[in-house]
Amino acid sequence: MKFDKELLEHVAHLSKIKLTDKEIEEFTPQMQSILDSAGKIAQVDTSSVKMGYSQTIDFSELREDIVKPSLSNQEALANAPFTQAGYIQVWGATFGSEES
Amino acid sequence: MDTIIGLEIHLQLKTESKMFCSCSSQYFEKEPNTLTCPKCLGLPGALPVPNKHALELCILMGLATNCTIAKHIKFDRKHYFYPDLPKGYQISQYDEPLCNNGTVNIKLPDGSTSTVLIERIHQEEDVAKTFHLKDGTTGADYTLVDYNKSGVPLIEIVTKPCIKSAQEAKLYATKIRQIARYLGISDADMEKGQMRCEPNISIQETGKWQMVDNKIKPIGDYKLNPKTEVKNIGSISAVEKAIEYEVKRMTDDLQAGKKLTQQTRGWNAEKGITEFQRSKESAEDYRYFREPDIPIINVSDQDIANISTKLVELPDAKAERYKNDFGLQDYDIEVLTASRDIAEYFEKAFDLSGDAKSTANWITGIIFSHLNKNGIEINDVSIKPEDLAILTKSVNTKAITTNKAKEILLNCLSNDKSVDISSEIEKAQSSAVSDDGALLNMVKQALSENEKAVTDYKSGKTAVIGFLVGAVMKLSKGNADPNKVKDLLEKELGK
Repeated sequence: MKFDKELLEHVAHLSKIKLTDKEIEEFTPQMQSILDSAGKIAQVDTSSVKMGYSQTIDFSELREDIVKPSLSNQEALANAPFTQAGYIQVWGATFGSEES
Repeated sequence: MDTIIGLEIHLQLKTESKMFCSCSSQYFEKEPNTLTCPKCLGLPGALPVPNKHALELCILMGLATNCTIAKHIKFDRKHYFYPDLPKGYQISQYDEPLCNNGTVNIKLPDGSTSTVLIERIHQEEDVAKTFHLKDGTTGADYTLVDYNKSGVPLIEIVTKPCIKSAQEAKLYATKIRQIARYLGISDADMEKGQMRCEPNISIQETGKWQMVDNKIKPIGDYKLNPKTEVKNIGSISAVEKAIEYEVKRMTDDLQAGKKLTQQTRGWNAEKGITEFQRSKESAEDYRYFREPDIPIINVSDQDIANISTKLVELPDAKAERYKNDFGLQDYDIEVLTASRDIAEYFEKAFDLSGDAKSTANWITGIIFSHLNKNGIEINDVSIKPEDLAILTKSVNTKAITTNKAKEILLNCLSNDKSVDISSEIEKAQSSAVSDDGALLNMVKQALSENEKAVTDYKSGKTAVIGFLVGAVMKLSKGNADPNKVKDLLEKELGK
């Protein structure tokens, strides 16, 4: 797979990070070499290997719809660097709307 | 220009616990971040465990919309970066949705039926609630996140691009809400976010495109116009308005020579416009891959059979039965089948009275105008189906007149407390003028007070009898039986 500047910029956009021109110059060949390296796995001959799922479970084995106690607000926020009025606070502009 | 619409509808399922953990899914009006655990907070190492009941409800919706149900359930990870998604991905279903290829019939205003094709219904999880704010002193942007909603079971119902107008889209969304409420799988209240509609809209030149395998394909060298997806639609009526706005916007842009781009726009209900949000990401940007933490789930025929027992008679089937068995009119049928509560109220009252038409008339007439006037639901009224049945039977056995029944009904409805309809009827009967002697006196009085009417009647203008019946009814203060009054009048006039 060919990894060029445009693709790097697209991935940076999806990752919500800004890259300088210098970084783009530097990272593009690095990404190419990472992809080439990972791409070697595709060269393995798997024609004789049957596609299958490692593990299956039956519908009846699924979890019953029963509520168990949740964490307290204090516990839930214990590791958050920023909080406000019981909410977790995230700095910086986030764009777009909620996904679902 | 042709309008081509596909609709994505999200429904929050009515379960006790979340989709992949045992936290309560009843997050409405709860203190923020009080219904979370390591799983729905996306902490490292936490394993998702699917909720059986949620999947049952998804399958139920699939069965109700004539879908094929998959034999295996596979979950996938859908990746994107946003604070509403703590894991960095949403657990969803990509290439193997639980339900496939369904249909939903909608009735168009001209009386014809249109079939909306459902491509898929898949199971996923809801995201956290976010509030975007600005710091008062520094002006820095920040977001507050409440993870109570994160992980609540959600299903997504996706149609094929087969909807031709904003109105059809609205009717379809209404039908989905109706079916979901009949099944009891979701409260589907759009204002509370329990149901979300996201239309995908494009406009194409007539004759320059065709549908091939339910996909829009250009004819010849025509270049298809890109579609827009509209989000943040908060009501069923806004579905129609947002689509109408978007079709006009795209048409105007094209006419002005502007190039359309694929994008996601948000509906601004206050301004009645759609606003640009972002250029749409493509499926490969989400880097879907199989969720390795959840095994494949086998769904047997027996599992489907067990779930099928929870299917109820749906609005279309009910409507047909009401027409065939009871001979009710289309308007009455529409009102009576609008919700399961109304249909059940009607059926219970009918079972006890045996008179479908009168029961339907009482409900669609007096009771409904009372509901609309007071903004309440059928189960809130003081008159219970049992009461309505007693009232209907009393009229049919001529124990009381229709007018008297109407009066009792209005009286009881305006009384919030529970009512004793039998004693109301007894009271009415005791005050009713059924004593023939007293009634005859009133008839004679009316005739002597209306000499002109009597002369008219005798000269052949027999229609005047209605006026005389009215005069007697007035004298009886509405307590006489008008048929009996008419008989007596005719007898007297014939002398």
